Amino acid sequence: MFVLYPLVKLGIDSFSTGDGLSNYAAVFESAAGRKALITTVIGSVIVAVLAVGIGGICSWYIRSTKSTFARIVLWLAVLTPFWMGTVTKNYAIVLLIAENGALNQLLDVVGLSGLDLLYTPTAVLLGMVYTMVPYAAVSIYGALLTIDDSLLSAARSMGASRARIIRTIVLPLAMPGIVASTALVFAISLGFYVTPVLLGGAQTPFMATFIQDRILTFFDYGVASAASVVLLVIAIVILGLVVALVGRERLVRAIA
Amino acid sequence: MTVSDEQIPAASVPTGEGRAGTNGRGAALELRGVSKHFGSTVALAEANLSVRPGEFLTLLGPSGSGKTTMLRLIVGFEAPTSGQILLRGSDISHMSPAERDIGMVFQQYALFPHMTVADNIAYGLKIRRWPAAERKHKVEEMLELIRLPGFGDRYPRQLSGGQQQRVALGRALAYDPALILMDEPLGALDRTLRLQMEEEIRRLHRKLNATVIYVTHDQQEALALSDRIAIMRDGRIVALGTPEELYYRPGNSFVASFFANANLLPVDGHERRSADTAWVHCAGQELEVPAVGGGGEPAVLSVRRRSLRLGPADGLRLDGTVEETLLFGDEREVAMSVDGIGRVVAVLDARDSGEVRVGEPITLYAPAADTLLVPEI
Repeated sequence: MFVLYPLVKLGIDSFSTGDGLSNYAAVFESAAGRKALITTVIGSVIVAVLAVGIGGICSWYIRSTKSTFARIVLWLAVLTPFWMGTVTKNYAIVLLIAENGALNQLLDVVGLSGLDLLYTPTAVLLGMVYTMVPYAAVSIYGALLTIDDSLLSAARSMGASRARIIRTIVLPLAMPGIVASTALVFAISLGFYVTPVLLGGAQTPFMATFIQDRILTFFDYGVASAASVVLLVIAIVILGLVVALVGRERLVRAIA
Repeated sequence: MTVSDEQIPAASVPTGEGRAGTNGRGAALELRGVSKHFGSTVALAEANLSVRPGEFLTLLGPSGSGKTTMLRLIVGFEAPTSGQILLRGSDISHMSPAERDIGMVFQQYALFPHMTVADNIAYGLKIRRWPAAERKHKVEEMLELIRLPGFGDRYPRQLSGGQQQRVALGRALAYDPALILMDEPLGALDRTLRLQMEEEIRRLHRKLNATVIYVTHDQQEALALSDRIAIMRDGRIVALGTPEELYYRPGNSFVASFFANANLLPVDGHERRSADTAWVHCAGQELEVPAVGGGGEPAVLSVRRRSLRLGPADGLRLDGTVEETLLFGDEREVAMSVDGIGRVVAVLDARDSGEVRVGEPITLYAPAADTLLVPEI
C-alpha cells in the first residue's frame, strides 16, 4: 500500500498532468534535463564501481585478517558513515574538502597547492562513494563468507600465489555478490539528493536536483514525475539485467 | 614394513617438466625439534620425526593433540617457532607452500565448486605451467587412476562424497608432489564408504610409491593403512612404531588404552626381574609379566580386551560382577566391575559367553604373557 500507491500515482501523474508524453519529451529535450540525466547515470556508474572496489577490498581484508583488533577497526571505519545522518555525513565531507578544510591544510603542510573541490562533480562523487562503501562492503562480505576457508587452503597447498587465489577462486565465487552489490549501489546512487545539493552546488546538476527544481521552482509537477519515472525505469532495468545475468537463486543467496 | 622400490613407468612423467626431483616420487621428510607456540599455548613441543621415502605414516591422536598443527607446519601454512623441517634433505621450515611441492587432501574435500573435475585436477598443473596438451593428458591419466574416467566435465556437486574425495586425491597427486598430506580425509564419509576409500588409498599408495603423512583420530583407520604410526597427545609424540608394535607392546599407558583399547589395572607394587619382565602385585596376586619402560616410574598393568577369557588359565584372575553385555555378532563385549580395580572390559567369543548375565558374578582369566606392565603417563 505505502509502496505501490505512490508509485502508481506517480506513473499516472507523469502521463495525466499536462499532456502526457510531452512531460517525457520535456525531460529529454530540455538541455538541463538531458544533462542531469547523463550526469546522474554516469556518476552513479562511477560511484558503483568505486564503492564496490573499495568496499570489496575492505571486506576481503576483514574476511582474511587473523587479528580480531584489525577486524574491529576495519568494520568501524567501513560502517561509521552508515550510522551517521545524511547531513552530518555531508557536512563532514565539506569540512574535509572546503577551501580551508583538513585536506587543503594537509596539502599546505606538505607544500602542495590547495584543491578547490567543494561544489564540483568530484565532491559529489566523493560524498556518494563515502555513503555507499558500507552498503557495498556489507553485501560483498556476505558473499565472501560463503567461500570456505579450506578452498583457499587447498589452493595455497598446491602453490597458488595470493593473486592467483583471488583471481581464480575468490573473484569467481564472489562474482554474484559483487554484481548484485554493484547493481544495488547503482540503483541507490540514482536517487541521491542531499549530497549533490550540499557538495555539488549549482554546477553539478543531478537528477534529484532537477526534479526538485521542477517542483519547487517551476511548479511543473508533470515533468518532475516523468523524470522520476525515468530514473525508476533505469533502476528496474539494471536490476532486471542483473537478475537475468546472475540468476535469481544465486542472487538471493548472495544477498541473504 | 618396507615399501617396494619399484618405480612408476617414466612415461607418466611429462618430459616437458624440468623440475628437479619431481619424478623421484616419495621423498624423505624429517622434523628436528620442531615446536609451535600460539602465544603461551604449546601446540607442538619439540617434535622429532623421520619419514622414509615411500612410507605411509599416520599421526594419530585425539583432537587438540597437535597432529593438525604438525600437518600445517609441514605444508607451510604456519612457520615453526623453533626447529627445522627437512624435505628431501633441504630445510623448508620457512618456505612458502608454493616452494615446497606438497600435495594435500582435506577432510571436506575442498574441491573448487565453480570448476569442473578436470579443472580441479589441472589446478596444480597450471600453477606449475604445464603446457595445455600435457595437462590434458595428465588429467585423463589421473581420472583413470582414481577410477572416474569420463567424469572430467562434471562439477563437484554432481558427484557423491566418495567420488569427490577421489577427485581431491587426484588433484593432490596430479603434479607428482614430493609428499602427500591427508587431513582426516575419510572423516566426512559413512562407514561403508570409508572402508572402500581406505582400500583406494592403500592401492594408490602402493601404486605411486608416494610418501604419505595421514592424520586421523580413528585407530582402526590408522591400523588399516599405516606402515608406521606416531601417536600424539598434548602436542607431543608419545609413541612411534608399526601398528603391530604399538598394539601388542605399547610403550606407555596412554598408547595402551588409546590405541589398543586395553584395560589399565592399578598395581600395588612392581619390581623389575629382567630388562623386559617384572614382578607385579595386582588384584591380590603375585605374577611375573612382560614389562616395558625403565622400571622406576609408576606403572599400570595393561590387559587387552581380547586377552581375557572365561576358561581357567595360568596368570591373572579377576573376580567381579557383570555390569553390561553387548553382542557384536561373533563377539560379546562384557563390562565387569572388580573390587579394588574398577571397571574392566573384555571381548569374549559370543557362543562361549552365552551364560553371562548382567548382575551375576563372573571370573575372567588373562595369561600372564598377554599382559604388559607399562609406565603410567
